[in-house]
Amino acid sequence: MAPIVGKFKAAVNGWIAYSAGLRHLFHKPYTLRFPEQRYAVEAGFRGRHLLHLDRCTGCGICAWICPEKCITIVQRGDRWFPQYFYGRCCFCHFCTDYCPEFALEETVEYDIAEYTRELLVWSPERLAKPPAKKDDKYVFSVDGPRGASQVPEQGH
Amino acid sequence: MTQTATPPQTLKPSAEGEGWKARPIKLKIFGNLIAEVVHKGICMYCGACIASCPIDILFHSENEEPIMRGTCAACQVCYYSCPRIELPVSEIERRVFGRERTSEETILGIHLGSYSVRAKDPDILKNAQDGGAVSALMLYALDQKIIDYALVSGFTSQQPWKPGPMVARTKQELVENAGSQYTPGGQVGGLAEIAVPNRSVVDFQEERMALVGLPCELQGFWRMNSHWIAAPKIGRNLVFTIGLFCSKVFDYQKMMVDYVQGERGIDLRTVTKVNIKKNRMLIYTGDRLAIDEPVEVIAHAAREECNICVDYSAELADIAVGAIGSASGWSTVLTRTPRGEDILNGAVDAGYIEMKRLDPLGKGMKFLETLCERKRLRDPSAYIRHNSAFPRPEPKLIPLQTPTK
Amino acid sequence: MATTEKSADTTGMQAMSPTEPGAQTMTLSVGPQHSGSGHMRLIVELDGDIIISAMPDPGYVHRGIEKIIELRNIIRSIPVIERPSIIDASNLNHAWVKAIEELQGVEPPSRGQYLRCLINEMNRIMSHLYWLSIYGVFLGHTTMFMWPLGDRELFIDLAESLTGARITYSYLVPGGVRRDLPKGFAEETIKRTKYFEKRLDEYENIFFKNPLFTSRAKGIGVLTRERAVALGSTGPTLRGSGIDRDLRKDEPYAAYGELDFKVHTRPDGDSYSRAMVHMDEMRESSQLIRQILEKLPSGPVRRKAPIVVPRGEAYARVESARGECSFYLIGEGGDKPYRARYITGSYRNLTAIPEVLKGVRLADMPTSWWSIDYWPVEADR
Repeated sequence: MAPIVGKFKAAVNGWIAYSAGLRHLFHKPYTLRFPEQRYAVEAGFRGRHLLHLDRCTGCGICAWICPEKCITIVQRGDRWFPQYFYGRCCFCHFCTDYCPEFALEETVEYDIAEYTRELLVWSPERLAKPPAKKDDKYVFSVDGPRGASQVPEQGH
Repeated sequence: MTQTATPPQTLKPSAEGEGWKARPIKLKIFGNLIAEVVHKGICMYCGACIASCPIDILFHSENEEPIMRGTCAACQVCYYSCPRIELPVSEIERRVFGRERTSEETILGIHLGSYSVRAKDPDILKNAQDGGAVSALMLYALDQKIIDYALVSGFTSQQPWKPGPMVARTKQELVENAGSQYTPGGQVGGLAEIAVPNRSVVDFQEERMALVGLPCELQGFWRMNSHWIAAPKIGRNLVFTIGLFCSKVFDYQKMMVDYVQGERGIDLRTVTKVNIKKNRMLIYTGDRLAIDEPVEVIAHAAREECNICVDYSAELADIAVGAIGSASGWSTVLTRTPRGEDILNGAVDAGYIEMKRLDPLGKGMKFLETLCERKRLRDPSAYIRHNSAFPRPEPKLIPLQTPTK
Repeated sequence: MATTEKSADTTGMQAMSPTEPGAQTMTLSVGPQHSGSGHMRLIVELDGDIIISAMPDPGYVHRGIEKIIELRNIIRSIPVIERPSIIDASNLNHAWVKAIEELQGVEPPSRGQYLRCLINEMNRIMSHLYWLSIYGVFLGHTTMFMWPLGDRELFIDLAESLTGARITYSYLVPGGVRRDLPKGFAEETIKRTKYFEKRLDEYENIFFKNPLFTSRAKGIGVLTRERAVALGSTGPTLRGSGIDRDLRKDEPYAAYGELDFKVHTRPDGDSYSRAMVHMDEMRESSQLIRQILEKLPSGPVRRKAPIVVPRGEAYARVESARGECSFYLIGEGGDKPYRARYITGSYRNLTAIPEVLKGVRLADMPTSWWSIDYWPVEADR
C-alpha cells in the first residue's frame, strides 16, 4: 500500500512541479537587449568619475587611497590633477569619498569600454566632461502584471 | 604661497602606483602646522585641522593641541584649514553675511539687532551660565526640526571639567551640557570625530546640525570652509552657528588642576559652575560658592595663544551670545544674519525665551563695545591677511583630441 | 544511498585498496574545468560506480589575499577582501571591519550597525540564490538555474540604490557604513521581499517538492551530527546535520542582538536537509530585512575611524552565507597590518567534502558536494 501511496504522492508533486513551470511559459523574459534597451541607474550609482577642475587642489588623497593604484597626479601648468586608468579601476569610489574638496563625483555613465588600453587612460580634461546623455529607460519593478519585469521609468 | 613647480626631469608620473608622489613641489604637511603654529605659541585649539583631515588621523590630545596618529598623506588640507595660518576676514564675511563690514561695524562686527534674552524653561535656567540663551535656542531648533543635532561643548574626557565636543540630540543632553567652560575644547574637531557627515557627494538623508563655539573656533570653521585647499565637505550640513563672547581662555592644567584642585583643594568632580565676571572668579559646588577671588590669581594660567585674538563678540557667528551687556540672569544676544534673527524670533514666538531689546547706546552695549575694542586694538598681523595669501593658480589644460563619446 | 555490504576505508587519505581480490579502482579527476565541480579539483576514486574516496584539491584560484592585505592600508584592502566571495561580499567585509574596530576601539553608531545587518542579510539571500541556481544546473534543472539568478536582480537592484554598486559593494568601512538609505528604499524593499517570498514558494513547488529532486537528494551524502562537529563544519552544512549553531545568535554582533529571528536546522544530515536549510535561511533573511527596516534607529551612519592599525591582536568572526568567516589581525602601529589571517566558511567545510562523498554514486556527486555550498574562490583566497 505504502509504495502505491508514495507513487501517487510523487505523481501529484510532479504535476505541481510541471504546472509551476508551465504557468510561466508565455511570460516575457525580463532580459534587456542592451544597447537598444538600456537600464536606468539612480543618481549615486558608482560609474565613472566626474572631476571638477575648479575644486581640485591636486592633494593626491584619491591616488593615496585608491585600492588598485590607478590614479596618477599629472601636472597642468601650476596645478595638479588626477588621471585615471580605468583598466584597473574597480569603481569602489573611495577616491570620491575621501576627496576633501567635492572635486570628484560619481556619474551614472558605466559603458566606457574601449578597443585599446591606451584609450582607457582618462586625462583630467576627459574626466571633467559631463557624462553623455543616454536613453536609459528601463527600471526593475515587481509591480508588473506578472511579477518582476523591466518597465520604462516614469517620465519616459 | 604659490605652488611653483619645477618641471619633473627625473621623476615621471608612473602608471605603477607611485603617481601620487610625483609632484616635486614643497608640500605642506602636518609637521608644518606644528612648527609654524603650535610651537610658535599661536594654536588656540579650535580643532579645524582635526576636522579637516581626510584620513582622520588627527586627534585631540591632553595638552590642548592636535596630534597625529598614523601616516600623513601630505594632502595640505590641515595646513590650509588653520585660521592661524591665514584668516581672510573680508572673504569670510562676504560668504557669511554677503558683504564686508562697514567702518561703523569695526568694533562689534556686522549685526542686525541686540537683545537681552532669558530662557523660560526652569530646567535650562538651573544649569545655565546666565540666561540659558544658547541651550534654549538649540532646544527650539531641535524641537522644530530645524536641526537634527547640535554640536555643543560638554564633558567627554575622563578628566573632570575638561570640555570637548559633544553631540546633543535631546533636551536631556542639552541641559546636562549647559553652562560655560573656561578652558579650550577643540570644538570644531568634533565635526569629524563624533558625527562624520556622509562623505559622498550624493546627498542621502543627511543630518543637519548647529554649532556652538568660541570666536576662534568659528574662525577655524569658516577658514576650513573658505580656502580652496581646505575642507568644504566638513560642515556642509551646518544650519547656523552660535558664537560665545570670549576675552580669553585658560590652560586646563594650570587653572583647574593646579589651582582649583591643587591649591584650593576643591575636588573638580564636585564643581557645578565656573564663572568669571567683573574681574572675579566664581566657582560653585552645588549651591555653595566655593571660591570668590579676583581673577588675577589665575592670570598665570591665561593661555598666551589668546593674546593675538581680536575677536571678542564672535563676529562670524549667526547669533552671538554672552553675559556682558545684560543684567544678571540674562544673556546678551547679538543677531548677525537674517537666519539668526529668524531663529531668535521663532524661539520667542514659540515660548522658549523671553526677550528685551538692548539699546545700542545704552550702558550695557557701551560696556560691551569697550571690551571689544580692547581686543580689537591688538595687532593680529601674525595671521590675519585681508587678501588671500594662498591664491589658486589657473590650470593649463590640454584640449581633448582623442575620440570620446 | 545504496550502501553495500562491501566495507570501504573511511578516511580517504591513503590509496584505496580494491575491495575484492583482483578488482581495481579508477581514479577520476573531476575539475578544475569540469562543469560539475566549480573551479577546484576533486580526485575521486571509484569502485565501479561508487565513490570510495574523494579528495578535494583546492588552490586553483589562490591569489594571495592575505599577503596583499599586508601591503595595503585598511581601506585599500576592503575591495580585495570582498572578492573571494563577491556574491557574499558584505559578510566578508564585515569580518574585516569588525576586527579593525576591535583593535582600534571604535564603536559604530547604532544606525550604522542596523544598515550593516541589512546589507548582510541581502547578501545572504543573494549568495543562497546563486548557490541554488548552480545547484539546479548541476542537477540538470535549467529552470532552477534561471529563476534564482533572475530573482537575484530584485536584491541587486536594491543594493545598487543603497550602495551604488550592483555586486561589489565595499559598503562597510571601519566606523560604520559609507552611505545612508536613499528615499523610497524602505517601501520598495518591503514590496520586493514579499514578492520574493512568493517566489520561494514557487521554487519549492518546482524543485524542492519535485520527486525528480527528492529522490536524488534524500538520504544522499549523509553527514552525521558527530562527524559534522568532529570535522569542524560550519554554516548551513552544520545546521543541515541538526546542530543549532549560528554566530548571529551565539555571539551577537552588529545589531543581531536586538533582532528577532530563528536559526533553522534540519536533523537528517543529507543533501536534502542542507538544501532545505538554505531555503529556510532565505525566508528568514527576507523577514529579517523587513524587521531591520522597521526598527532602524535614526542618527549618523559612520564614526571617525583613522586609517591606522594600532599595536595588538584582534580576532573577529561573523556568520557569512557559507559559515564562519574570521579574521585574526595583528597590528604593529602603522597603517598596514602586520599579518591578517583570513579563514572563510568554505575553507572550514573542506573537511566535510570527503565525508559527504563517501559511498555515493558518481552521478550523485554534484547533489552531495554542492549542497555543502563550497565556494572554491572563497576557500582558496
